[in-house]
Amino acid sequence: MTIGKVVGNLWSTIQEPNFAGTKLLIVQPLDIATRQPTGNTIVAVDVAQAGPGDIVLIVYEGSSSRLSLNNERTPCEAIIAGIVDRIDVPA
Amino acid sequence: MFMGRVIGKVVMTVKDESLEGARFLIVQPFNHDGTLPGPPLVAIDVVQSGPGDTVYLVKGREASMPWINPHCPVDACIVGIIDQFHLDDGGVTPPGSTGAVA
Repeated sequence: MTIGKVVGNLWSTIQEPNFAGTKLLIVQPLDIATRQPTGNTIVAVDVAQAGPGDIVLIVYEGSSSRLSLNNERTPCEAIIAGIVDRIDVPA
Repeated sequence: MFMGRVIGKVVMTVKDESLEGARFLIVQPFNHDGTLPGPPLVAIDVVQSGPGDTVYLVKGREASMPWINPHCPVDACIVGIIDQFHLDDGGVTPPGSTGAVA
């Protein structure tokens, strides 16, 4: 898992049927230590009711992502699993 | 998942029999800021997208799930066509206007 910032959302009318009812957000992964953007943009299914600008917990791995969706047949490998309140990294 | 633009297709007569009937499209991924994360890739398509469409794709094991035979040898699949996307700092963005893959 890693953290990221919600930078946008997208609309899709024609999609794989198992995605029906899901909310897709555009997320920029962040370096946990520096909080700077790192890596490539991810499109993730939101199961945590996140919104614009939120720092979120991203699960970017197949089977664990699907398990948190109501429909395990959704072909999705990326989800937003939580909204981060605070990050403590003791020096 | 990630976003990309369909830029072409691959036609194959001889292929694994589990992939009979599949469409193989060439997709250029792009980031939300318009930069390109890497070179184009080949993905199967289950939403009847075509060249010029902005799409989102799933990579890895899940890519084979939407196909008729979920045990097919596939690692990338187009699972939706993007109508438009909205960036929190840039208004509503119609597909293709990122400038990155024009």
